[in-house]
Amino acid sequence: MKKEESVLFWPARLEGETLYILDETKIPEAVVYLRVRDYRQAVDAVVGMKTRAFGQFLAVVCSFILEARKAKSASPQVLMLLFEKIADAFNKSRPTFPFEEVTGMVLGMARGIGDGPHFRMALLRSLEGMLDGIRRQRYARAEAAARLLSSGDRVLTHCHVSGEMALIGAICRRQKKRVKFFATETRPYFQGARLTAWELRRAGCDVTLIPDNAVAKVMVDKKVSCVLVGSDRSAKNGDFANKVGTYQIALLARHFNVPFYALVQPSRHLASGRDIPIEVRADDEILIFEGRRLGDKKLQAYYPGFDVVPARLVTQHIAIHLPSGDSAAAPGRGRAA
Amino acid sequence: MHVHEPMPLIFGVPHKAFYKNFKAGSVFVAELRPGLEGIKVVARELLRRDIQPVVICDNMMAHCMERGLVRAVHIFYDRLSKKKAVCRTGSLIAAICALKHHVPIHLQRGRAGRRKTSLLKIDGRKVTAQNIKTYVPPSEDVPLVYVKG
Repeated sequence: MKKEESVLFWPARLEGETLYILDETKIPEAVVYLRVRDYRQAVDAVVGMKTRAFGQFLAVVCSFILEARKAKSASPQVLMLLFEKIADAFNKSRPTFPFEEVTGMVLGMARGIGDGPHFRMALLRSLEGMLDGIRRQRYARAEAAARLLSSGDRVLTHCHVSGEMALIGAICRRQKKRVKFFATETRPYFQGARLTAWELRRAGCDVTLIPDNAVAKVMVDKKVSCVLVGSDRSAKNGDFANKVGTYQIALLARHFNVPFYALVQPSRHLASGRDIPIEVRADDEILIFEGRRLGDKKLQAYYPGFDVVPARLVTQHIAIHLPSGDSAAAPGRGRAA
Repeated sequence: MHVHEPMPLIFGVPHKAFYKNFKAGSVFVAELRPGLEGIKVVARELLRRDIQPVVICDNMMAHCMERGLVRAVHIFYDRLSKKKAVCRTGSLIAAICALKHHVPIHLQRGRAGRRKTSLLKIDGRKVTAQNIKTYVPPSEDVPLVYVKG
């Protein structure tokens, strides 16, 4: 891990035949990694939202690498069958994040290698090389975002951008730009309070936490000069999905003439944001906190996990692109829910 | 739960008189962080009148409107002048989003008495590190030009 890197920037790592996934639900109390021995445990971590956003992408790719490392004597045909099972399990895990694009990319890479005697090693080299490329791309994207910011800027962000916001803050500090951050708390999972504000503070940045309902207030009072958010999934026309609340912020930013920047990973798979499925999660995720019910038992709740920001509300997309291959399958950002 | 039919949305804490004329089977209730008065006060009043509250987080209003799930928006003022209403923070979001989505907005008298609660807690429990700087403005101005219907 580089000095400026938050633990949330690269929230999974492989050591031999064990995958360590950062349990983001434990932050800020503790930095704890789940020990994952097979892909099924990684799927459980995704479904249980132990990891999210870019962590989901890493969980998928690292699960393929993990199983390939373990399957030392497997033939290419057997390994491909296993890979198809892994892909199927992740594709069914959560609806909004583009799991099919990620697993499809890995399967495509595997098929492209052929079935020679060095199939497994070649596959491992390709996947590990791809991760290295994505790390470089995410650094480049953070640099590009930092270039948009000037000394004195006050950046509003929502949810959590998988360590990239802290990196942007660190780059600005290195460049002697005085940039302040406002983070929404991001109900119901508090990613803004638990992750973004925590890591920005750890990175030495000036960060202020606000309730989700104070976004218009900070805009009308000119306390923020721009908005910078991540994305979970993009469409061909530039629409993107992100943690619910992002659309509301984008609308307000346009209303108050505040520039709205989005860290995205372009996709050719979906025509528009209307094609992005929106996950609706359980009522209790709003109504219960740490096992304690917040209101009457008769209450119901509606929890759409994501919303869609139309491209027309975006001042500038800051995109990640793979050095080669299908950029649609490189969920670099980030994000959540 | 999934929602398929539009319903009204309440953002803020209404005066008791509001409930007398309010008719709905179900209603979206914004939770109202950090004090959760939407859950603790408004939802309770609705349940007493056999109206089903459907709680949403304060960041979900625009999405619900964009999906056509909000029939009308109700916001509430503490003070009213010729050009603006002083309302609980977040009412401006509700008003602007309603305006953008052509949803009728109703402005009525509200109840004061916001619960003093830290943004770093929910229902008394810590949600993050306690040394993080917070900004929780209690109220904001809603220009009356935004309020139609």
